[in-house]
Amino acid sequence: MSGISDTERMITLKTVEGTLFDVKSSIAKDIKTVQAFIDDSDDDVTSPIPLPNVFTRELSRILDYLNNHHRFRSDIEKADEEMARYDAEFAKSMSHEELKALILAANYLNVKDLLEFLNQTVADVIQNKSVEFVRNFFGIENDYTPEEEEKLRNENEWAFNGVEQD
Amino acid sequence: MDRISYLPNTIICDILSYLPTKQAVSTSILCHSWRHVWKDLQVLDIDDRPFGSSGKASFDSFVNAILAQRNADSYPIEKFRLTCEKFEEDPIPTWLNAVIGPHLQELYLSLNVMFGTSMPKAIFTCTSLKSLVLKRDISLDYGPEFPDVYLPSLKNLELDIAHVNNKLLSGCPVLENLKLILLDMAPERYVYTPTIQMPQTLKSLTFEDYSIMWEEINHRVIDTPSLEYLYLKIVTSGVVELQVSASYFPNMVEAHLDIEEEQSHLDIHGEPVEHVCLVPMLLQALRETKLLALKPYTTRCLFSAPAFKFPEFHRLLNLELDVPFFNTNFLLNFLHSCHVLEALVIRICKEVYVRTMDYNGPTPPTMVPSCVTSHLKSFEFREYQDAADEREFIAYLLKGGLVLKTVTIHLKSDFDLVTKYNIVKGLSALIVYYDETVQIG
Repeated sequence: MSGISDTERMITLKTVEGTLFDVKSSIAKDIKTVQAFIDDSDDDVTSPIPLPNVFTRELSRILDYLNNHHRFRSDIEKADEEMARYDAEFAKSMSHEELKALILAANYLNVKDLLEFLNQTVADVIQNKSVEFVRNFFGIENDYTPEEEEKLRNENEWAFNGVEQD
Repeated sequence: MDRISYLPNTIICDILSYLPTKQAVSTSILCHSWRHVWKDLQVLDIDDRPFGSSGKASFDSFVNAILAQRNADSYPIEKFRLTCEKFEEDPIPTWLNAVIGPHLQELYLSLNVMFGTSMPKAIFTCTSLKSLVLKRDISLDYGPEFPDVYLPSLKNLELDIAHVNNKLLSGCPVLENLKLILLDMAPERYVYTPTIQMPQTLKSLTFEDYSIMWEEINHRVIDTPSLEYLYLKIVTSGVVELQVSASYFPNMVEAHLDIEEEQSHLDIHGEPVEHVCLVPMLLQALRETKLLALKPYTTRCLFSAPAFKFPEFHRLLNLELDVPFFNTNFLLNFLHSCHVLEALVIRICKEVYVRTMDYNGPTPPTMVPSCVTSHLKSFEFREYQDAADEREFIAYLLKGGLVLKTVTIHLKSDFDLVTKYNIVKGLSALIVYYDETVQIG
């Protein structure tokens, strides 16, 4: 059918807070959880699709990301460059807490490319950082006793030694 | 409690798979619930370079412990990267045998070891394998009979090793991306391959061949009708029997040619013999490309090719031309065959070839090439030397280039300041009446 992009079907998503977002069906295709919901419905989906695990802030970010990536992909020239620049800004714009919240949302909504990108971003953040930094980043309490920790370090000596200090 | 504390293990695992395995394993020290997470990792990236003072024993026990302790049954390895710079090759085949299995999708090996490590034959029938990268000291020499190869999922193959076997290349029915770098090996390690046939399914081919044998037949067949990207670098010594067969590439987007002779060999009249047939034949095959880049030796072959006529480039938008010396007639003939050219880059690379050479081609038509009057938007001149014919050519393009928007001129770097000033002043006189952006660097 011609002219489908002008009259593209819109889908409405509803966050935990009750905020409604109108989303083009071509964008919704990249949100696998939403797409599965649409595919499972017998009729056209007209009422808002509730997303009981997704907050407004995260959904708005995810839609921004998807809209921009769609735009880059439609313009073949320089798509990769622009996308890389956008992604770098996107990653930088978030605090660690926001980054983790977005990962949970992207995971729930099953937005594969974004999730991969965010996980890579986290890996870049924690690469070559101290144990304390990584614990802080993930909000982990050290529940090893000093004896346990010492024992683990000794047992798995190969994992902790051998690194040249710089 | 903060909901964020509970990133599920699948996500943690995914995050850890972007880290060097050594660091991923050390997260077991964070807390109890992280203790065994690394054992589910399906992506391993192992590198011996951080193992400095503690040496080989420590690295060996590290890899052995990882392979022994991980949950191999529930979480088979999908991607494996091994970089060895320092240590010996003894345990490597054992590790590879533990890694190669029906779930392995990507294997990357870069080994710098004393004696070449033989690749376990099992890799050649790994049906799940999508990407295989082998660099440096890995041997594919299996004596008289190369093992059977069946790699039905392999899309990406990069070989930067001593030699390649056609049986390997023909056992990859869906291969799209091939990077083949054949090194010039010491004679005792060299395996002579008279013919190399590229798989027909290729979309992208990077082929650097430094292995052309003296006084032997060297046949390279590039019959790949779906090819979109080509980077071809061939270095020969002149006294070789080299044949390259290339088909027609209707989908070509980007092609780079770097065909070079280390030294010219002289024919019976004492004249240097160039690869005068090879480059024209390749250009003919590449006539549908959108981008064409020629290195100076390659361009030089066109100068001397007897009865050479440029093919008609109907889709060529970008031309990047390295020339050994400036020749207006050559350039104009080239431009007359490029009908829709939008961007032209010329770079003079005098240093690569001292002996000047006459251009034997025909005198170009007197009219301005149609691409210059109606398509050419940008022109870049690198290593500009301010010879009279170079200056005239720029003036010619400025006058005839009705849609020209950007002209960039980079002066040859070894001019002194006063000379530079005078050149810029001279060039400015050419461009004062035009609206285009002109940068002179």
